[in-house]
Parts: sequence; C-alpha cells; structure tokens
Amino acid sequence: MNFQCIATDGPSQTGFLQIKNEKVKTPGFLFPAEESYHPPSFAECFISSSTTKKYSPLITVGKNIFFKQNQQDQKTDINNHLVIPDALPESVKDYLQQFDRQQNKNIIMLSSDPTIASQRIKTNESALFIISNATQLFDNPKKFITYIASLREQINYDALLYTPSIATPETLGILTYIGCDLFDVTSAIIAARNQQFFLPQTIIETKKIVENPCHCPVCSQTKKHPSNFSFDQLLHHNYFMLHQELQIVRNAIKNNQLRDLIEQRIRFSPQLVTLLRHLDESEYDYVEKRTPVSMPESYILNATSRESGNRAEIKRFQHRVNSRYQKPKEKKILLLLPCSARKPYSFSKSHQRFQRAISKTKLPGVIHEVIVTSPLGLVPRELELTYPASSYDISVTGKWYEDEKLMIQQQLTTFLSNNTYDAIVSHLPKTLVQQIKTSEKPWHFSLTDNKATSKKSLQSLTAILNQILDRKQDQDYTSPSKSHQKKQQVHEIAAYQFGRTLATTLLKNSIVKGKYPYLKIFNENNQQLGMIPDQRGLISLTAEGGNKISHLSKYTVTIDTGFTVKGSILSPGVITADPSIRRGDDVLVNQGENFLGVGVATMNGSEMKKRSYGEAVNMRHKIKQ
Amino acid sequence: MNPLQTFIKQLKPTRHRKTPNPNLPVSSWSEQDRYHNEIVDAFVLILRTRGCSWMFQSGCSMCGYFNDSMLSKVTSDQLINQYKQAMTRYNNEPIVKIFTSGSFLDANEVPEKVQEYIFSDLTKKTKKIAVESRPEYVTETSMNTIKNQLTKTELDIGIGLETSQDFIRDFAINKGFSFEDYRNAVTLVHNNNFSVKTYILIKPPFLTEKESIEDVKQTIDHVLPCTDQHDILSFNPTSVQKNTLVEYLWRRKQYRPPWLWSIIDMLTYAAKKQKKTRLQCDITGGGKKRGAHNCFTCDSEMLSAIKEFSLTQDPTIFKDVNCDCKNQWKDQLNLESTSFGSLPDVMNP
Repeated sequence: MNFQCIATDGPSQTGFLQIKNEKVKTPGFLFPAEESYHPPSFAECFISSSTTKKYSPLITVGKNIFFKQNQQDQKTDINNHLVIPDALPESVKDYLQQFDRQQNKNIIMLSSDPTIASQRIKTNESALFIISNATQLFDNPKKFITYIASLREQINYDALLYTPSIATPETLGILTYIGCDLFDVTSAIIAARNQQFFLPQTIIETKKIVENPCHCPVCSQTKKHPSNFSFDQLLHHNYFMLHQELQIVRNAIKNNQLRDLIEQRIRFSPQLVTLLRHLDESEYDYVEKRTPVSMPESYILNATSRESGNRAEIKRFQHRVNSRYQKPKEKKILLLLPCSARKPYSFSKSHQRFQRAISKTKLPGVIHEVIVTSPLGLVPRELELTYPASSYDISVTGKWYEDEKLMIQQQLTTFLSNNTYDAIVSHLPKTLVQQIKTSEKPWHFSLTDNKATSKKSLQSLTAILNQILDRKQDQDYTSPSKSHQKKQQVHEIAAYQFGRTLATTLLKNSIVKGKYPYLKIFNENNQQLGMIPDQRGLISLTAEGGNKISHLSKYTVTIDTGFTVKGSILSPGVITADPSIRRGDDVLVNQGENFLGVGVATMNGSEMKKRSYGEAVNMRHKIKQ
Repeated sequence: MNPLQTFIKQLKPTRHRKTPNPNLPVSSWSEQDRYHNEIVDAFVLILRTRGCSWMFQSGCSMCGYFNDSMLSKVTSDQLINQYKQAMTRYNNEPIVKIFTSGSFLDANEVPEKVQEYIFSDLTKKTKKIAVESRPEYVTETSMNTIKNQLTKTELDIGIGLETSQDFIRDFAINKGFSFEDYRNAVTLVHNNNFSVKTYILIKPPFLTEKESIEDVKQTIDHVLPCTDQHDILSFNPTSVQKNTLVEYLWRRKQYRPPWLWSIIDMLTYAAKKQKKTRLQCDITGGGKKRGAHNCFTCDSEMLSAIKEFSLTQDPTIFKDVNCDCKNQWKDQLNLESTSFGSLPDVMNP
C-alpha cells in the first residue's frame, strides 16, 4: 500500500492510493461493502467488517481485542484494535492503550488522544491512519484542528488520514483542506433514513423542498417529489451529491482553488467557520509550510471574506515585510499610496499618475512609495511583483472596516519602527489616515479632494513633496541613479525571497539591467546571475547565481551522489533540505559536497525528506562541470 | 487498582446527600413470574444494606445499585426491621425474591444471623426464595448452612455472570471474577439441589451493538451446558444508571443502551439453542432513553412481546412485530464497527 501525490493545495493533497493492484483516487470515499447499501458505479473503494470478494478494492476490518481471532481474522487490514472512548480521562485512556494490539503495519487505527497517538506513530510508518472517535473530535473544532495538524506534522507527507462518519457535501472541502484524505458515506445513509436530501452546501428535509433543484441521474429520471423517494433513491441522490462535491474538491486542489471553495462552503455553519479560523490562527506554521511562495500567473487570491485575510500567504507576506525587508537607505520620505485594482500596482493608470507626479519633484529618488492596502497592510514598491501582492483582489467600496484599519495600523507601527524616515506624506483618504496614524512625526497630507488621481490632488502631491525637499536641503539628500535603484529593488526582492544575508551576497559587485519588471542581475564578468520573470515576482537564479550564494548553505537541497540529475529531482534522492524552503522557491542543489545547480522547489523542505514519491525539485540550470 | 477502576470508583458518591432511613427497605412489590410451569405472583423486596463489597473496592462499570445502598453501616436489627416492614405487604405469594443491590450471601453485607432469620421465616411461608450473590460467597459452608435453614423451600441463587468472556468481563465490566469462579459456584449450587439464575449483560460499555450481540450469543453457547431444567438465564440489557462509567459515556454521547431489536435477536437465538433452561428478560428502563430502546414509537409493542416471551418461552411472537426502525438498527450493526467509535448511535449521530 502506497500513495502517489499528484497535486497539493495548502495542506490538502490529491493522488492515488495503491491497494494491491488497484489505484484509488484521493481524496475519496470508502463505501460499505454491503449489498443493502447498493454501492454506486462510481464507488472507488470499500470498507467492510466481512471479507467479501464482491467489492474491491476493499479495506477489511477484523475483530477487535474483545474477540478471539481465527486465521481469517488475522488476514484483515485492521484487527486486534481497541477503540477507546474519547471522553475518558487522560490517565484512563493511557492505561487502556496497552490493550490495543494492532499488528498491521500498513493501516493503523489511532487513538483520538494526541499524546497516545504520537507514541503510536513513533514506531509505525504506516500508509494509512484511521482516526478513532472522529465525530467526537470534530465536535470540538479546536481539538480537531490541533489533532490533525500535529498528526500531519509527525507522519510522512505520503501517509493518508481516514476520518470516518464526518464527511458531508458541506464538510468535505474543509476536511480535505485541513489534511484529511479518506472519508465514508455514513452521512448519506443516515440522511436517507431520516428523509434528508443533500444539497451542495446543506442538508434539507425532503418535505421542505419546494422545487427539486437537482439534476443528478436519480432526480432527473423521476417526476416524484423527493419526499416520495424510496430509501434507495434518496440514498443514491445523496451518494451523487457526495461524489459531485468530491470531484469539485479534487478539481479545486489541482487548480489551487480549494481555499476559495471552502471559504464559500463553510458559510452556513458557524462550527465550520470556527474550524477554519482555528486552523489559520492556531496552526499558522502548519499551513504556511504547505503554502507556495509563488503561484501560476493566472492565479488570483480573492480576498472576499473575513477569513481570507488570515490566509497563510498574506500573513507570511506581512511577516517578511516586517522581518526581511528594509527600505533602501537613500529613501528619506515615506509616501503612502492607495492600492489599485490592477496588479502589479505600477501597471495601473493611477499609479502611473502618482509616479509622474513624483518624477516632477526635485529629488524623486529619495521618495519611498509604500502602498496601503487590505488585506496585506503595507506593500513597499519593491515588492509589488511578489505573490500575493502581485495577484490579489478585494471588494472595494471606499469604506474601510475597523478590523482592516487596525491591521494596517499595526503593520504601519512595525514598519515605522524598522524603517526611519524624515517625513511622512499621505496620499490616502483622510478618513483612513485619522485611524491609522501612529507616528509622533507630523504627517503631510496631499489629498485635496477625495480622489487621489484628480489633477488637484496630484499637483498637491508634487507641491508638498517639493516643500519637504526644500526644507530638508541641508540634509544632503542624493538621488540614486536609475540602475542603483533597480539594484536596490532586486536586493529587496532577494531579501524577501532568501533573507538578507543571501540577498547581499548575491547582489555584491553586481549590476542590474533591464526594463522593469524584467530586471536581470549580472556579475562583474557580465555573467547573468538571475532575473525576475514577471509571472513569478521572485528571482530566478542562474547556475552562476546559485554558485555565488551556495556556500551560505541556505535554501539548499542536498541529494544523493548515486545518480545523474536530468530534469527533476525526486524526493527519495533528497538527503537533506533546508526546512525554510517552500513550494515555488528557488533552491540550490548540492550533490554530495558539490554545487550542482538551481531549480524550483515543488515541495517544501521538510516534505522533500518526508515523501517517498514525486518530484522535489524541478531543475532549471546545472553548473558547467 | 488500575486507572479504569480508580475512575469507576471516583464516579461514585461516598455518601448520600440525604441519609435514607435504615429501618425501611428500598422497595417492595408484587409481580408475575413462573413457578415450574405455572404463571404465579412473586413478592419482591429490596433491602437497603450498607452496599456491595465489590462496589466498595471499585465496582462494575454499569452498576448503579449502590445508589440504593446505605453506604454506611446497617445493623442486623435494622435489616430485620426492613424485612419485617416489607413483609407487612406480603400476600402469600409462592415466590419471594430478596434483593440487596449486592450479595445476600455476603456476611459483610447481610450478617449471617439476618440471613438465618429471613430464611427460617420464609421457609415457613413460601414455596420458592430467590436471592442474588457473587460467586465468591457461594461456598460449601454457606450452602450447607442455608440447606439446614431451608427445610422445604426451593432456593434460586442469581449470579451476575454478565458474559462468558473473561476479558470482556474484566476489562469492560470490571466484574472481578472469572467464568471458572462462576462454574464452580454453579456446581456447588446444583450439588445442594438449589437452582441458578444466570444474569447475562446485554451491551457492556466499549462494545458495539453488533459485538454485544456476538458476545451474548457466545455466552449463551457457553452457559447453557452448565445449566439444568430448574435454572434460568436472565438477559439484562444495560440501563444508564446514575454515577456509573456507562452514564459518564452516555452523557457524552459515547454509549447507547442496546436496541430492543438486538434483544429480540438474542432471545430468538437463545430460544433456538436451549432445551430446558428458562429464558427471561427484564428490561430496566425499557423504552426510555436511559434504557434499552428502539425508536420510541414501537418500543411498548416490542417490550410487551419480550415480556410475553419471558412468560411463554415462545419466540414466534417476535415474528409479528415490526417497525421501520429495524433498518436503522441494521445500519447500527453495519456501520458502527467500521466507524471506529464515531457512530455510537445512528439515531443521534
């Protein structure tokens, strides 16, 4: 039994579980292998407490510790197990665990107690973990999130989690997003018994249906009202709804849309919203680790709900602005600008106007443009190409909500404590400024009316900046050259991407050329070190670029010397990998002691070590030997 | 004590909020029962003793009878007063059952002199006496003593075997004795020409509905060979009694009392297997949420069928009962074991 991952999206994954000679798609459902539940044609996997030959692939559940095992029982996938009720006190659960005598290495049922489960995992490298008392865990969102996240962090990335009884069309997406892989169809059976009809986001009593909105094969083949459906009809309709949602979820994973999907799906249920909030807030590290640093060009992060603002990539961006970023030292005056719908901002009409107004000042090179936006907070101009600053969308009404203002204020406070300016100019609406203003320094306001792009406001912007520059004449401001400014921008992107040490080493004695945003880095011998392709917003290194920073041993993946590298490096070949590597990062590949080249990580650093299948690094350039 | 035993003990109160009157019995009433092949009236009286000795050590996971015990010393005189008080309502019923929420034969609970007083008195009044005892108090000595006290009256000793599986009895019930202990006790009882009523527990905690059926069927197979024509198998479905492990789990939705369908299934099986032993099933709290129940709609019909069976021993009565909830019961059997604790009750998921 093993698992082959095809795609990931956040903590979720889709792929194939190999059971004997058959492949089962995940995320997936296990159907009861019972005639009376009429497994549908689309059933992909089965579970049963009897060893039927009729359904396959089949996971068999044998006798637990209370019953004597015969030879047949020994052949089952799970046996000699003990389900310990979740409600019992810790000490009792701990004591009872010794009676669990599961032998099978492939599939292990785990206690719902995290400590007991951890002890079990230490000695079992299983392919599939069954979570006992999943319903009881799920009833407590905080407990459930902590349990799944900590379990996932301990087991292999290729290991799968089976959470029985809790999947419905409504919960399937978020359960998958959290990191669960296998589910059952119990909810469909119980709902059918109780005259309940599945809809994509909810469960409705059949008698409350006014018009049947469903066109599944069951519903489209009958004119009967769902309240007159037989049990089998209702059951099959419910199966279809589960399966439909399953396919939607699998598509979403492949298209990096699962987060957007679940933000919709959870809306009807405060419990599910709580679940997502706990995941984002309490298990940030778990999610962040699994969140790529760059996305395909077409990807847009739609920040359409309160929860979107908690997405790991947004928090990571803020964190990196606070910890890795520093403003170029020549920049003396902070200019706060509103964001634009078009991204990157400087490609928008409004920002082009702002930049023209800035260029009309006496020393445009000392003015530092920082964009104020929700949900990111502050985006220094140098980082506008990076994800998610380069590709998010948000509802704009002109009104700022209290929590947005508070977030911006916090970001600004941190930013101003890390970066010192001689003056602060705000080209933002006054209503916003009143709330976010924190610094002791006097602020200057350049907006004359409520429109940042009006002629008057733009003139006022130039004028106010010039006034400040006049007053600071004695401060010997110098406007850096265009190419120096480009180099500083690339330096900050590199710092955002790799941290400041690597950035400084990479840019030392280098020259940055090219028309924005296609900036290229060259060394003193005119060898290219890297460039910024606009779809990534990060530096793509050349082999020389990698070679220049490889001695710092950061963002490094060390692979086995036993094979010749062609296009990609597979995870079994990885010996060590920097745990700070994220999917989408540029990484430096060492083969044994020798620097081999650069590539893009398709797994995070710890994943490279804890996955047995799949591509870890997509090689871009190999160094010439 | 292991941590599970400690926990079971912790759930029990150490004393009552309001001390019961030690001179009054818990209760007494008259009910129908079988005497040989007749249906007759039986007088039941429950004495309030200090409590079951095993309960003071740790106790069984489902047993809440201690809630009726004094939990402090009850003198011999007080016990005799209780007995006398109850007997004022005695109406010459041919059977008298004396229960103590513990072991009548345990001298720490019912002093020998009280046992003697009651046996000597009843032997003059009734045809058959029924008491209950753990096997450890069924000894050569105790049997001999009683035999001398009971000149012409039949005696039936109820023993709570619960299950023939030592591991389940130990682990899930915490009963504190073995199948071997039970069998030895049965031999002693039989040697003295007394009869045995074996209590079989339906659905201890930790077992699924399906497993509890399997457990009971195995137990039937193991117990029937130890019994003779005067003996009784009494099936006792677990009810949720106060201050027990079962109640603790039930309150947290991790235990459901057995379905009446399961009981019917077991009784049908037992009826097929038995040749001579009488089968009986009294359902405490039947049809209520704390007792064995189905969907609450069909429960009274099912309960009267089970009651009828206990009197007639005829399982064909079960052929006539039906309800849609039978499908849900089947779901419980089909789905619970593969849910790994996630689905203790399909009716209340």
